[in-house]
Amino acid sequence: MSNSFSQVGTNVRKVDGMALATGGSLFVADLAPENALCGRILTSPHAHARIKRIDVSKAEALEGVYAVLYHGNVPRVLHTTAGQGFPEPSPYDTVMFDDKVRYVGDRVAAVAAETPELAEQALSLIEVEYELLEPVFDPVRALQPGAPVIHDEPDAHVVIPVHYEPQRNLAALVETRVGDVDGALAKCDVVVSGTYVTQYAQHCPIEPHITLAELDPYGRVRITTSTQVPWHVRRIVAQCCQIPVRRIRVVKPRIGGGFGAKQEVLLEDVTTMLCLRSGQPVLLEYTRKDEFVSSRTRHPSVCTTTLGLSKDGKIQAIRMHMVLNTGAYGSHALTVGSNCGSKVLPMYPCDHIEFKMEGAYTNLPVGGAYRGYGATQAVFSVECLIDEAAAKLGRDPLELRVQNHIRSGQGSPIFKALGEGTEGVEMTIGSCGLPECISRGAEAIGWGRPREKSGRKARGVGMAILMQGSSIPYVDMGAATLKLNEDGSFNLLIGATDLGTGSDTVLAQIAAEALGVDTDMIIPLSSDTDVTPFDVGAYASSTTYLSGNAVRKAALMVRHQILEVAAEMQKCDQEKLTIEDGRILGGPMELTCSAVALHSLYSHNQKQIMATASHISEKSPPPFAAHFAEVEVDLDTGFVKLLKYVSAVDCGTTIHPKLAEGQTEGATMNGISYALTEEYLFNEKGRMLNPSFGHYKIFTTADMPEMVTIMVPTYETTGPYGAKSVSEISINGALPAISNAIRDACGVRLTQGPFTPERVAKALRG
Amino acid sequence: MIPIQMEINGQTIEMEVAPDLSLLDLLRAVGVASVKKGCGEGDCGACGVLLDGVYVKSCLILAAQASGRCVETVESLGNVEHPHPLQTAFVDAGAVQCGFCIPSMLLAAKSVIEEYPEPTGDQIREGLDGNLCRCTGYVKQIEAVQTAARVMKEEDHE
Amino acid sequence: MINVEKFVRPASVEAAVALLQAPDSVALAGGTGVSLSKDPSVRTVVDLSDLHDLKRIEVQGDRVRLGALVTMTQLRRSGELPAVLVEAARSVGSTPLRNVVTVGGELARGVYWNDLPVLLLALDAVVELTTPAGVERVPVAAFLADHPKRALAGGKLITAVEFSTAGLPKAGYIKYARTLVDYALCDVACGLRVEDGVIREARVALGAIVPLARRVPEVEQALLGAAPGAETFARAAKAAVEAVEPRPDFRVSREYQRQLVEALVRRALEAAVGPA
Repeated sequence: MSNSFSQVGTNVRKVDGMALATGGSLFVADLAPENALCGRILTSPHAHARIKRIDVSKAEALEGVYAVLYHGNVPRVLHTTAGQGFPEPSPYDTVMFDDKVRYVGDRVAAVAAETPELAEQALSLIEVEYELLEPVFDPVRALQPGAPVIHDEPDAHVVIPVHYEPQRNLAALVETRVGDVDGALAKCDVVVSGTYVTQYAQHCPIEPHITLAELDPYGRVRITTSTQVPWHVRRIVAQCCQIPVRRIRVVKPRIGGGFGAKQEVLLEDVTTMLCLRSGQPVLLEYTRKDEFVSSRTRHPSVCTTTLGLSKDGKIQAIRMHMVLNTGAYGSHALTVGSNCGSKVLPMYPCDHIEFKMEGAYTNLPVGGAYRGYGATQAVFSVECLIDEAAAKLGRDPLELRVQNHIRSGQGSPIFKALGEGTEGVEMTIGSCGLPECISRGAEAIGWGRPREKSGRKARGVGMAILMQGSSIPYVDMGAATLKLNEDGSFNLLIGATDLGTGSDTVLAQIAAEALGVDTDMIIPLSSDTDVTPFDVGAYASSTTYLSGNAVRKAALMVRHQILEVAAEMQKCDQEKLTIEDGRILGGPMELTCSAVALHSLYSHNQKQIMATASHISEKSPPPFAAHFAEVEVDLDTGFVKLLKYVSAVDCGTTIHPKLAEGQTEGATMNGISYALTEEYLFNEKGRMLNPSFGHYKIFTTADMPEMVTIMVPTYETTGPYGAKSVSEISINGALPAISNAIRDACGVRLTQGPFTPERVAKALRG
Repeated sequence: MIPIQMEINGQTIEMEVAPDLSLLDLLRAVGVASVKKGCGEGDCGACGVLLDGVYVKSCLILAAQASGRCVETVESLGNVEHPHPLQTAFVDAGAVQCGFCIPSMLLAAKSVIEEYPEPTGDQIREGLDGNLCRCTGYVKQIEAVQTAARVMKEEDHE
Repeated sequence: MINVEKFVRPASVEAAVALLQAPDSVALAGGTGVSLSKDPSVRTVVDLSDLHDLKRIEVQGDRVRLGALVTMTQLRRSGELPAVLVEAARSVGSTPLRNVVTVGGELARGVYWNDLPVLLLALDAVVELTTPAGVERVPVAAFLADHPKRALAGGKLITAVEFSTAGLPKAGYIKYARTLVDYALCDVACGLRVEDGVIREARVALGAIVPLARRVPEVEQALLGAAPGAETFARAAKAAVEAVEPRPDFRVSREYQRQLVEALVRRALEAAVGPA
């Protein structure tokens, strides 16, 4: 199918690639005017405390300080920082500044001053007296009676009808049940169960969060910001600063990575307020330490899962009880929690499923959206337990997966039961390349080949199979506008947010394919709330699938208009005409898109050929993947050396093969480094001890294993030219695949990430 | 304030700087946008420059320390119309995703090729080990350095 | 560094040493330490970068002299140095750091994560210090024994490090960290002289797991007079565990640090004697 495309499936040059590679002024920090004030935020040194007294007068009096914000001088507007659709599924438990702090790193006050040094000095002049409260750091204990209540304020609430009990630190709750798990387990021949723990992690975009707010001569605020969700930024800033949406323009320039961290409105409200108060442009950026401590993280989790199988290897029942630690605020707790079930449990269809998720508040850093979004946390337990079950049954774990995994045409009751915090949408699987992912991945890793176990180093292999989704059905919407220029080029205006992923390029390819022109003729402009149509933003693996469909629709409408004019110009039947490489073929005249544009702009019945289209999805077709890891465990030190890693992925049609591979490789590497080294270390007072790249280790080129990426083509009929999503799925495989490989190598089961030498050594000691 | 003068991409500047000003902050202050601040602590490598031809992290070099020296950033490699083979190779390999880490990584790559005109994978991995990238997984970048090395060798022969 | 008034780049070692006599002065080599320093007392920075004589590696027979400004990258690329030294240089930081970090800087900094001094201890290197009165030679063990800051007090400048490869043909070095670009959890280096199947001389040094790199005489004693081999090395490794109180490290437990010392000392000794 794909060989009939001219643009889709080709490695066109990434539209912003050369501008980036030549060092253009493209990022927020590059765009700030010289006179921009420097914003800085004072954060809490305590995990849980009430602000008894705060005096900002000395800071305000300092020469060169233009604005000081704290809870006493800003409106108290309950909201969520989660950049989600409205009304948001995350609780309204956050205000710009509060008289209570709930974790080390929580906001206390903010200043705008002429220089960074002055801003720091102003922060040091703010006097704060705290009344220390007992903190709680363990999510399981936080949910128990008698635990300190973190959100004791009366006004925290939810804006959709979901369960919310802040008085017992319960930020989110999801429960669903299909069939009779207890009854089924009683009849199972093999029951495996385990508690699997995942750790805090940070997204680590190399560009930290940064926002520039400027007033224009009309009194409007222009917010240039490193965000994945420009429209949600506009809405939430309007809400927090109590100004109308029409006064705000949000522009996303190039941004230095996001991975979910920038699906959060973290700086925009404060920066805008500082700008409004000072009347000056304000630039506020996080330091790397802020990024670790005060930004967002992957929700840590404690997940207890039970699988029941009959002796023929068929999975009969699954029970999962997930406790998510959402930290001090409930950002994304409900939806990450739902996804723990909805992106993992359907993999193994069975009649008896129980899922319970509790999102617990603690006095630790705040969870948020992070590539993988719950699937990362939940798949760890399931994919390890499949191996445990295989061991009990004496079966090859690969074969056991092949026997049980979901296939094209199958559905799962979970799709309907679990949506984004509310009910989901019934769905059957369309394209599914999982069998080929498994077989090709197995071949690449040499599955079944015996590994050396002699001496003090032992080798082993492990695998995991994965699924994700593509957009949120009936919730997410993407829109695109396309207009024809007189040289036959097209402006493609898209709300979709390219956070470095290459979506501007991919969407341009889709437009070009639908129009019948070369991708060079498409000029994409994305994410400017004054100029481009709406889009929910870059999250939930939605851009290619959802915004891509909107682009395709708009392009087909424009194509229709072009052919209409072309038919009129040459007085022929429009039906016979087609566009290829910008030329209109099938009629008596030799016409080009440019000629049609000139005609329609200047000659006769003048009009702008253009169209806008929106798209919502009716389903969320999962991409699938099989991951394989080969490790060498040092039995003396516990060090796990990852020798080779194979990611075989079915993302439907790869619109841009190299970019799709790049998404896979980037996500895979992030997953690997999460599985082996990334973690937050805290002291007993809840302060993070390693908030730097010096001590929070992400992999460098020197640490890389041999990496193999296999793209398995399928065709998803509901996607643009057969495409599904690709960005998130491959972050999920490393935890279970590497745990399984360690088990294979030396017989110990690692149930808590990361698999540091110390944890492995401890497991080896027994 | 400390008086300094240095050559930045062929242009000489003279000015007075605070003694604790880093070369990174100086470069950004004079408008060299390609040099990025990802941490300011010597860890991420997004601020890498060539100082008298040696690849260094500009956040760990004081501006005053760089006085009298020659600084090259990615702007000296090529531009959109006339890119350097490394820039072309990076873009065409899909090695540029968000692009924030790329200008400095290109300079690291240039140093690798200067030392090893036909670099092995290991030599590239060692040469780029000071540049964190969270988007790509590094695979495409290593490919790109090898491609660029081949192109540069061919150009040398012509 | 905020109060610095003068940046000086002396043209000779004598001039540099003269400038360093001022108590509020600091020597700047690669700059990775000085650039992030917040020390408000420093008024004068003595930038050593014009002292080109200190950037040379000299190898004469079994004598090696490393100028204080020799970078890790120079060590890494030199074709004439012992492999173990090249390996140790590789283990320091990342490429752009190795391009500026110097031999002198690694010794003068006095922080737990300096990797190179651990190997220099095992090589029994001598630090050459230049003072206004002339040149002093101090064994690296003595130089580090208190703290480099004290060894350098009074404006002494490290000008070179020297060692001989004659007596000690067998050396091993291991840097153990979470990733390849990381602060070490434990460094081990050892040098052995084996004659007639018996260890006649042994130097074993640890770093990172102790506040400052140091030799461990208890381990050396356990090796002397014994035949190199698994049993001897296991005993020496146990001696290391007993002799060394690990530094509190928020990254790992005390228990694991002990396990590391034992495993790595044994490994380094095995590496030194090479494959059986």
